[in-house]
Amino acid sequence: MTTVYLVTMALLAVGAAAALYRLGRGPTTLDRAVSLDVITSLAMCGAGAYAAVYGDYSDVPILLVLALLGFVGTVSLAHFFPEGGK
Amino acid sequence: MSLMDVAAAVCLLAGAVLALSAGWGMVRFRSTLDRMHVATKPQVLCVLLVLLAMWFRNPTWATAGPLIIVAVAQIITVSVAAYVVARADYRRSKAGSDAS
Repeated sequence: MTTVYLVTMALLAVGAAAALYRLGRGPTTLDRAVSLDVITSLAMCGAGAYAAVYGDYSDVPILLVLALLGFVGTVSLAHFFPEGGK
Repeated sequence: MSLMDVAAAVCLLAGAVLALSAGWGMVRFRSTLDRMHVATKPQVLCVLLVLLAMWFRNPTWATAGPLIIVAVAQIITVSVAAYVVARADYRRSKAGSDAS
């Protein structure tokens, strides 16, 4: 199970690094918002993987808060995004 | 390792591969709509697979309750965020094509 945990965390880290590249590079602000959403979801996956492998379910509230509040930044940013803006 | 542990491991690895595909798509795809499209699938399915793995490791109703709440909240919020981002990008591209 530790091997599964390590492989899972490595794949999640590679995905998060790619999203981080898009966060720094992304031509528009919307790209950065999308990549921040992806990074939030990958953080949820990491916390969930830790809970599943080690049987420590005390971080389920973290998952709940991230699922409920992770999209607020994206929605507010897209709401106030100017037309024709960058 | 029991059968439930094997199922949990398979779910975790499938979710991690989906996360990797999300990162690959974020780097590779060209437009904002493409990247949003490729980002939303793993955002839902990867988290759902990890939650399923958490339930497989401890299959009781007491753990299933919060996990179901997390899953429903994630599905709703990801779809709302994708819709709002797509609308903003569509309006941006339309305004840009009108101006040129």
